[in-house]
Amino acid sequence: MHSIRIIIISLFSLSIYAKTLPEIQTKQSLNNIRFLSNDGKFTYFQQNGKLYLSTNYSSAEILEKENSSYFLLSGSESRKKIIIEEIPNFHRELNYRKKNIIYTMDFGKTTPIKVTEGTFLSLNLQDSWLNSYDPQEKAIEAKNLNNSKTVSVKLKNKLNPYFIPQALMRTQDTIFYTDINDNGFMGLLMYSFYDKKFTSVYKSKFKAMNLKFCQSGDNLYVGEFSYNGISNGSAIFKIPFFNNPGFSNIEQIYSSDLNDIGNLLCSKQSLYFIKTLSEDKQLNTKKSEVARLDLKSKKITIITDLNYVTNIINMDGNILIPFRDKYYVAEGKSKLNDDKLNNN
Amino acid sequence: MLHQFLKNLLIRKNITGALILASVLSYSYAFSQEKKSSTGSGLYSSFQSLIKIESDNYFQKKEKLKTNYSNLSDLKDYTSVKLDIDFINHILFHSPSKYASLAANDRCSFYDLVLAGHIKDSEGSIKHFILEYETRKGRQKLAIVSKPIFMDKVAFKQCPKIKTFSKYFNTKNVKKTLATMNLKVPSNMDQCFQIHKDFIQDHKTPYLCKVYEQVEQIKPLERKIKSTPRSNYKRLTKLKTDLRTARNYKKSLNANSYDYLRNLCINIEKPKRFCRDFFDISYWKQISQGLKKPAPIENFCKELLKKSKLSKRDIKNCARSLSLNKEQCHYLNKYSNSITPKPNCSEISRALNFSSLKSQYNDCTGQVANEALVNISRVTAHFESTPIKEGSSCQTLVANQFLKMNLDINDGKYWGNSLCYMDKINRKLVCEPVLYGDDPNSEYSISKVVTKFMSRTRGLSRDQSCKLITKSQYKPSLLQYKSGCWIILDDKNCFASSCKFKILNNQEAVTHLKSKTKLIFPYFADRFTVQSLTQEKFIRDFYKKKNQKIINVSFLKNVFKNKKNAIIHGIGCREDLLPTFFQKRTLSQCTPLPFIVDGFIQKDGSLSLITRTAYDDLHAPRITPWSYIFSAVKAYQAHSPMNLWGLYALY
Repeated sequence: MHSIRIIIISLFSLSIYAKTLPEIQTKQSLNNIRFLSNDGKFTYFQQNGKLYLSTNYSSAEILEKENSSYFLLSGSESRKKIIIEEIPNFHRELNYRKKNIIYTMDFGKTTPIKVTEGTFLSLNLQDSWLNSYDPQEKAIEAKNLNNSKTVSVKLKNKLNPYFIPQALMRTQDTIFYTDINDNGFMGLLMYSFYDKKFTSVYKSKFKAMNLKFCQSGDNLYVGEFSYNGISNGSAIFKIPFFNNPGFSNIEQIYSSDLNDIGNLLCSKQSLYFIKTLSEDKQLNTKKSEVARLDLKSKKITIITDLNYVTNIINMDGNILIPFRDKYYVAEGKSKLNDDKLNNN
Repeated sequence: MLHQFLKNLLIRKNITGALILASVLSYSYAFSQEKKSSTGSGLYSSFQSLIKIESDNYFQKKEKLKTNYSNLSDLKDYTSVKLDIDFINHILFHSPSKYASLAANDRCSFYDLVLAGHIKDSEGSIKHFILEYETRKGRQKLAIVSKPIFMDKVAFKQCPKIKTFSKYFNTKNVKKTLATMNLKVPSNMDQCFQIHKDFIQDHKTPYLCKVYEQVEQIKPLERKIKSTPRSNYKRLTKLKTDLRTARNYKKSLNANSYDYLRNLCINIEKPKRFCRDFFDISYWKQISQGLKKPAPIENFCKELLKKSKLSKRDIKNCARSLSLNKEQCHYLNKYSNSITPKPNCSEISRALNFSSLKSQYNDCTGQVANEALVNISRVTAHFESTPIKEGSSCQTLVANQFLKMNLDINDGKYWGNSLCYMDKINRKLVCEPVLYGDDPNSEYSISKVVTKFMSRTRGLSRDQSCKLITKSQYKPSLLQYKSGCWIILDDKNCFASSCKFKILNNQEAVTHLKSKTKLIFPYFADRFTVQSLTQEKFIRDFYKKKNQKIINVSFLKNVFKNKKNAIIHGIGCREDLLPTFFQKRTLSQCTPLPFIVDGFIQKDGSLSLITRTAYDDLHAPRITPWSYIFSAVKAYQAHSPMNLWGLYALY
């Protein structure tokens, strides 16, 4: 049995900071931008079916596809690679089983290489391993970008055809990922490609809960959140990677009776998630804002005052809040349109 | 006496304390008029102090009176009997607060509550009383008296009718008694409040609630029996006797009476809630009463009851089950294969109450594997003049809805799923649209197309046809499969949008028929040049409907108010529409997801919409805040080459 240490997050540790956050400022129209480096030096953008890199007063074409294609770009903390997902027939083929074409490219460079097909999940281990999800096979694929070695793990989920797991690798033999069992309980599992063994890292306490996880330092942080229309409250747990046999050491660092939207993100010092401040269960409406949980003090601060925040993203280390047609900067540089020539 | 005591409490409004405490503990009814509250601050510490004071006083008194059991043989006059104040406080703490209102009518109503077992002390049903009375020698005496003696020598004397009355509800007579009673169903709110008021004043009510509570005990008793070791024979015998009694009570109630009594006894002090159950009536209940058609419940019930065909009785039982256990709906997904967890049964029921989409059939979103196809089939089914007939696989039904309209409007140009063969004489490829399944209403059913092509190319005679089966049904060793033409669908890889299958003719694989798969079409205009070639335009033309862009809630409310049969369809980014299911992880991320809005709920100026995304079960709509819909459509607009606001009413 997991021993769960509980740190009570009292009302007093929740503070409302909520000053108006700066909006991101970019040289390009935000709708065209697909990736922005944290210092604004590299901007990847799309025009029609073409993907470009803009840097240092010049732009270079990266890919040219049909106008109907759409590109998504992602990176990682290591900043060695950038992943491009090409979504063919973006507006005209709405099919959850459709596979995106996944390319990899050196960070800041313009030569993509096609590596696989599916939905991109994560870049791991100094960007040497790529995790993607095959919605047709319902399997997570782990691919070594240096030698093309590929291993995969099939999900058990039979209950939700639209489920997309999260995945993360700590070593080239182990992968952490989410799955749903036959009874509707979501779990965070560790699979060893070497021993072909599964270990349960954390299993949700209730049916129909959503688990989100991320890593910061040597710890895994797992958020347990209620799906919309389900009222089991919310919690976040800290699970150390090391000296934690059977992952029995699980520390609850946050809990709430309200049903947070969740969408957990980790940075070095903080966790970010979408916290529900009040809800009307008849209308299913929530007043939701971005909360920052300081990992040292465990203090929670509400940092937005937008009322209906639902998403938060990590763009090359900058924590951004997409809201309506704007992006607010929760952490990092907001002015990414500086044209100074000596801007190194 | 207690009823006077209760009245005094209510009049002096001292009961407020008790009500607050009751809301904290949800069952305790607590108040101590005589005792000073403790010095602790805050509600919780006051409450703890109250409990401690009450408990100390009661047990001290009980300890003192241990040797003072009385059979009331020295009682001078039953009118001189007073219940001890610490005893009253004790039973107030331990009796369910909801029945307090039933004790306030007269002294006899309190005795009714005692006889019905609703008055409890810390050990459960009350077994003795502490009372003060005047002896024949004129002395005041404080004593403990057993319940039968108290009832016999005091209660039945004061209220002679209650003795015979209580007998009407014992296990022997309850069935007969209930058969003579009429549980009135109100026809309007005023009448409902009057019915509730009548129940409060009716001496039968405590006994009716006793019947309900006995039935409620069945499951807990069964659990206790299971967990009690056989060695604990005495306890086991007692539990089994209690279970037998409870089951006897259950036999006296039919399902409707049980639901009625449940509503009454849960809401004995909440008339509004009691009445809401009649008028804000659960959709499931309406189905069970035959007021609504059963389609929305069928897939849930087939899975829940593990039956492929449902009788009326099954529907009724299942509807009751969904009303009582709201969590069940989350994962009843075997037939609809949609996104899970679905909303809970009570949210689905509430949404269906406000929903106007015509949907007396079933679909299966995951098996279609094309979200635009799902949405278009739902929109078009709504505007059909005759209801959709089921009879084929659900994904084929969905596909046929789309194909039918597209064939009529533009020769099925956007239906790229076809079967082809090479016409060697004319040297050209002959193709026909195909549905990956059989629909009795379509000539494009796969077995019809294959049969047609096989007769043309392999001389299949008129009385021969190619039959459709799934891979899991196909058993090559069986004689029936040794000859004839068979189309074997790979059921795990067969969707309305694409399908793996093979054709065998007399056990030989047919290779000259080729399958093409392509379903790529614009839902809304994504280029200026295709504005008249979108599915949205096809729907308007085919069903002769008008459209109106919905840009705010006033437009939306007006459409539903003024346009009969109107529904709204749109496309938004799923990450904004269903943010607890799908998370954005990078800039400009959007996965287009079509959806239908067919009603709204309003409260205090806020508005939520009854929404079915193309991932959702047709019969499990979501109550979605307007802000989510707005953000999702706005985010999709940012990615539209035409800056399209994708939210339109059709009417």
